[in-house]
Amino acid sequence: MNGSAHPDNRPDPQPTQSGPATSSGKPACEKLGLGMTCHECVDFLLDYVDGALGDEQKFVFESHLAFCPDCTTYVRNYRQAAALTAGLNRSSRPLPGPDVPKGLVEAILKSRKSER
Amino acid sequence: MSIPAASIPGHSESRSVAETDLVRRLKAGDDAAYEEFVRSLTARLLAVARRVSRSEVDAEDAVQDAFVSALRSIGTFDGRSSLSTWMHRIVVNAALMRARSGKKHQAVSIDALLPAFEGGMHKEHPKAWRDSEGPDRRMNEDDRNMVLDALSMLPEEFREVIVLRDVDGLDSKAVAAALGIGDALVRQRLHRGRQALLTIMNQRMTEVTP
Ligand SMILES: [Zn+2]
Repeated sequence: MNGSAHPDNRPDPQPTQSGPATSSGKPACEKLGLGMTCHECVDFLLDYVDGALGDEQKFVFESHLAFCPDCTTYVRNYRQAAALTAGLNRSSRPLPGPDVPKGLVEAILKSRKSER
Repeated sequence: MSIPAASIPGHSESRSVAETDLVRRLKAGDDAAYEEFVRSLTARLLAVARRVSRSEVDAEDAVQDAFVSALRSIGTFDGRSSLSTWMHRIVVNAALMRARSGKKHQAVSIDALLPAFEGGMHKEHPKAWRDSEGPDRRMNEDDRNMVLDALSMLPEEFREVIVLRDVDGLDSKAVAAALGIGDALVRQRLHRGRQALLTIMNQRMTEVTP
């Protein structure tokens, strides 16, 4: 996470370049002043949704989201993917009668005998 | 997430003398030991299987499959996790094998399922997903099956982390303890596993329904 001042006192910022990253420069989206690239944003995503980012990181992350519809959508889908998986739990049907149906244990014990 | 950690078999128990003895007898092919093993774990494993099965019949069959495959591989059980944690993993795999839809798909490499970037930016614009929650906060049967299908396509080491954390609701530390791996590795697998699930589910979640 970079602060405001460049350590080497280069004149800030260079005239905006169009197009994606050049071999020498920072990726294009970082040049746009978003503070982190989409790639970095996605890398920090788990920490973000877990609330594990520090204040400064969280600020940079959310500033990126504020300007980046792609990452905003990605974050939403990521949360939904986790929620769908967690939903397996909630959506399980009401248990049919007794916890372990009659005969299951016996069937398992028997299937071993036929294994041999 | 509301499942108390204690409901997940074995993640915090120390290996007891009784368990070590049971494993020794199982390895020796002792019938009474097998019966004890089956009777003590069937209810817990069935509860686990029901969460990741398409039907009650599939869940019961998965438990049966799990005991058969456990017996085949008990020789390789090294006691690093508890017997019940080991069985938890086996039954989840067995249930997801049964949950796979007709087409035979193999687990794909995780790298192929992670999002691609170019110049630090998304190579493809992510598309917004449709809603997936009914008014009663339950998933419908189709979405449930889609999730099971997607889970069954993940490489095992990612799937087991996802199941313990997102389905069973353990925190990262408890998952690490259950699997005998470090916390950082758990988080890395969780993150990649979720991204891979996102990629797999993407098509179904962005389809326009007529
Ligand atoms: Zn972005």
